[in-house]
Amino acid sequence: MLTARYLERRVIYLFITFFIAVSINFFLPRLIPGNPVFTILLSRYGNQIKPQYLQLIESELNLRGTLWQQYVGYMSSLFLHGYLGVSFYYYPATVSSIIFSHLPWTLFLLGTATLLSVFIGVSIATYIGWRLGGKADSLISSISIGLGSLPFFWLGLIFQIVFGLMIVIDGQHLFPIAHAFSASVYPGLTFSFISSVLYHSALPIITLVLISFPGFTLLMRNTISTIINDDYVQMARAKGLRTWRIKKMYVNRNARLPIATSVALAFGSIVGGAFLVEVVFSYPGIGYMLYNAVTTSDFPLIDGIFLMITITVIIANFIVDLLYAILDPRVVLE
Amino acid sequence: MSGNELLEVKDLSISYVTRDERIDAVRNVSLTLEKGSIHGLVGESGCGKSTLATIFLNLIYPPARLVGGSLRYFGGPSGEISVLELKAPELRRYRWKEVSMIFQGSMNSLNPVMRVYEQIIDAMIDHDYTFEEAMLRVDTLLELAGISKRVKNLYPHELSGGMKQRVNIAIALACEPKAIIADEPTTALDVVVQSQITRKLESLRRDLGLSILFISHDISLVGAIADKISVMYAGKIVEVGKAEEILNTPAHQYTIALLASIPTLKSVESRISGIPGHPPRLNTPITGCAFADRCSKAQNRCRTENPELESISGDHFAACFFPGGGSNS
Amino acid sequence: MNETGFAVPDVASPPPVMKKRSPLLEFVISVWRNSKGKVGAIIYLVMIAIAIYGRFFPPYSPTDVQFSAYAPPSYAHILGTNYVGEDVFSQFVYGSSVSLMVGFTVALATMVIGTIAGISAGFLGKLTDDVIMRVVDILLVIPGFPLLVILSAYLPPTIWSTILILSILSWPFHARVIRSQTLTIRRRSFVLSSKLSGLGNFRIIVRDLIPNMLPIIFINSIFVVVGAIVAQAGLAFFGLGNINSINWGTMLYWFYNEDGILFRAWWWLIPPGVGIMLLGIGANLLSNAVSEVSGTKRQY
Ligand SMILES: Nc1ncnc2c1ncn2[C@@H]1O[C@H](COP(=O)(O)OP(=O)(O)O)[C@@H](O)[C@H]1O
Ligand SMILES: [Mg+2]
Repeated sequence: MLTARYLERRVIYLFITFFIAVSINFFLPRLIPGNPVFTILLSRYGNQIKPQYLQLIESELNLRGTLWQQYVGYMSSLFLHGYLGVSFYYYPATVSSIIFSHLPWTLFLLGTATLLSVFIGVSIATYIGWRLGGKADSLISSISIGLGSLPFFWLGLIFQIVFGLMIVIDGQHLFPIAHAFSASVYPGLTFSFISSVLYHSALPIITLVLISFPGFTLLMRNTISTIINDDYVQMARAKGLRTWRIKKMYVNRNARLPIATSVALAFGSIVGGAFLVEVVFSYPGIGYMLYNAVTTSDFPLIDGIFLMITITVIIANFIVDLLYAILDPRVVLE
Repeated sequence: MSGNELLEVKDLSISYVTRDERIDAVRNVSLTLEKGSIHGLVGESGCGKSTLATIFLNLIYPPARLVGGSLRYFGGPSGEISVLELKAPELRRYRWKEVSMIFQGSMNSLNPVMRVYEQIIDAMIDHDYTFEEAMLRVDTLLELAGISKRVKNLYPHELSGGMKQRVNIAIALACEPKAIIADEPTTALDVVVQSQITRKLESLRRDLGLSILFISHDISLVGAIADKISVMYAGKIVEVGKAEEILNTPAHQYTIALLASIPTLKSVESRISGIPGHPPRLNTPITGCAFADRCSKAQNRCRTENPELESISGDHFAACFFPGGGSNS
Repeated sequence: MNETGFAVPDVASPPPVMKKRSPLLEFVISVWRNSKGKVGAIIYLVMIAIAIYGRFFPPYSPTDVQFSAYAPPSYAHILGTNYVGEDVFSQFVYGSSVSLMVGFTVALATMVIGTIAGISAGFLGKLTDDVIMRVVDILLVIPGFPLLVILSAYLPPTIWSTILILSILSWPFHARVIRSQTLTIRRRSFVLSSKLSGLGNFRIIVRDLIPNMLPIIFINSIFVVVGAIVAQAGLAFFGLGNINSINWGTMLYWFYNEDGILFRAWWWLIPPGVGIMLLGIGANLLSNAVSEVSGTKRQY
């Protein structure tokens, strides 16, 4: 049950986690001896930077004063102005502007892939959960185990070769292997743009879903197999209820609770998968930007992307927590 | 056959078959539940009472397996039916409408994510009550079960053990069954609530003309409420008769031992460990009387020959070669 | 007690408990007797054998570049060659030793840290429990891969940095599972009775807790092995860690960066992925076998 007390606890927890993620972001570069950010900046542009600007750069990077002063400065510019610094590589673009233009693509991949995975995983599990030990069960379980063990980017590369290059119909490749939409359409709420976006996202999303849904299938299957032996399901059978009612109200309603918890955990892993798949398909989300930032040692951008994706995941977790409380009347506190 | 039977189990055997062993939990049991009566089924934990209870709603699911036997029901509008031969849809309609059950460990029998009233009405709706009829009946049922009708909007975790048990009784009464199988309905409740629930069941029998199979490991509890008593040991009924006969002139040595282990005010210490020894694990076939190893009167014959149920007097049967000798009166 | 007559047997069979004498050996034997366990174990034994001994028998040196580049499989090169003409099979064999080393080292570190943290939290309770579990909760909610990336970006690019980072980030989940196991086992009477007989905490932990947790420790560690190998491969794919070390991850990195796709060099792409997939399947089989044998369920 969703109570005010529960909500309050979750919100506090949300802020603590958020605060810690921000602190990691702040301390990490400063804990490494000889701040790599500054070092890289100097080694790369050292001869171009006039000495009088060095101080300016230092203060821009919040590297002046005691650690505590730096911390306060960092926090205030972040919270008061949403300021994440300036990208080295895309200078003078600010990190936040880069992130906000690329984050939607990542959210699109993540959201679609997660929902599809949960839906497919749960549907398949509900089907085999009632035929445990049968042929379908062992076949689907084996396939799930195999698929779930694949690395995301590896499967993405395979799909690229097979569906993007090898299969050719009428002189056309089956699917595009890069970018979020074709260069010939103009972004906007037009049919050609939307269909181009869907077309370009097909392989990345299929890759993500194929590797993510098996986890849900296996979990849901195991959950159902225990719930089926629970006393209240025996009771439901004894009551002479119709089969659909037993499945829906007694088994599935109880099975969705563990699923809700695992969605939160799995979401973190799908994020990793999405980042890698974006790189494979040169898909312009923040995962791809993170890859670029890593290869160009663009530390402000690396930090900013880490912070943004962490916040996204924390908020997703928060929403799942609320959902959990709504789904399970027993949840009052903890 | 007096024509007063409601449910009749004949030669029933049920085993649990798993990969590494087979447990013969119910061995060749016959038992009759008469209309409007309370029949007590008593025996130590693990002797097969709950397994036997499942047959009345034909709830035999793996690893349990029906080895043989029949169950006839005489309460239906169209005369006698063989419950074990019913097809799935007919079985579904028979369940709860004709016979319902209060499960052992019924603390866990309520679905944690449904409100009390939802769990009462769903049985009715699936047995041809309209939604309105079902909703109207909820208050009556809760009242019958002796619990405030305000609980109907609560979830199971918000109820105490005694309240849950009363909700289970309300659910059991929902479709106006002719019989209720009550498997250890008061175990795990404190003594006061225990006697409230027992009296409740007694009054329901009186007011609604219900038949009740009252299962317990506690012979004193069963003795207080039952008209007839069956004593079960190691998967078999070893003695059956009118409650007074069983309590006052027990015949089987096991029944005698059970009665002797009841704590009395005078001899609290005689009780402490119940009957010495353990009942046999039922994973290997038993030759002779299963109780022989724990019986003070056992002879060679008890270990080699199988005692059958034989009449002691009239309706009173016992499966013992050396019956009696432990009268309580 | 959960007893409806068709559910779990009540008094008759106590929960499966490892016997005291040489629990490890008995455990191993019964897993091996299980058919899933056997297949899983064989996968791992073969992979480990390849990793340890393979480098002494590869057909070529993994860095020998005298062959033609992008050659498809042939008799001379059963898995073809890569962009500079190195033999893919030799690279796969050599790379498996680095990948498995990463997996097993991280698993070992995770088990040590996670088990100590989990038992401390569950056994000492109070403040220790609170502190450890808050840290665990927070580490679990921060998305793993981005955190790995940012840490790797700041640390020197060596395989040991990668191992260090993976070890630091893998223990929380294990610690949480161990903590809940500790709480359950603690409540069981035999631990209480050891306490009564005046044994110290440490002996209770060594004699009662750890032997009973062997199955769950095994299940968790085998998944950490696979998880670490996959994570290292992902980092390598991002160009993080030492990209010049030969392992399954860097093979994929070079495949991607040297246009393996445009050359459709599937023979170069498939082996590392299949290696990882086999380890994943083996891990699932072994863990299922261990659950069946010991009655311990895998935690999610
Ligand atoms: N699901 C099951 N699987 C295997 N054996 C079982 C199962 N349920 C009960 N048993 C065994 O069957 C025997 C009878 O159990 P039960 O009918 O529950 O006895 P009671 O209700 O008299 O305590 C016991 O030995 C018990 O261990
Ligand atoms: Mg029972």
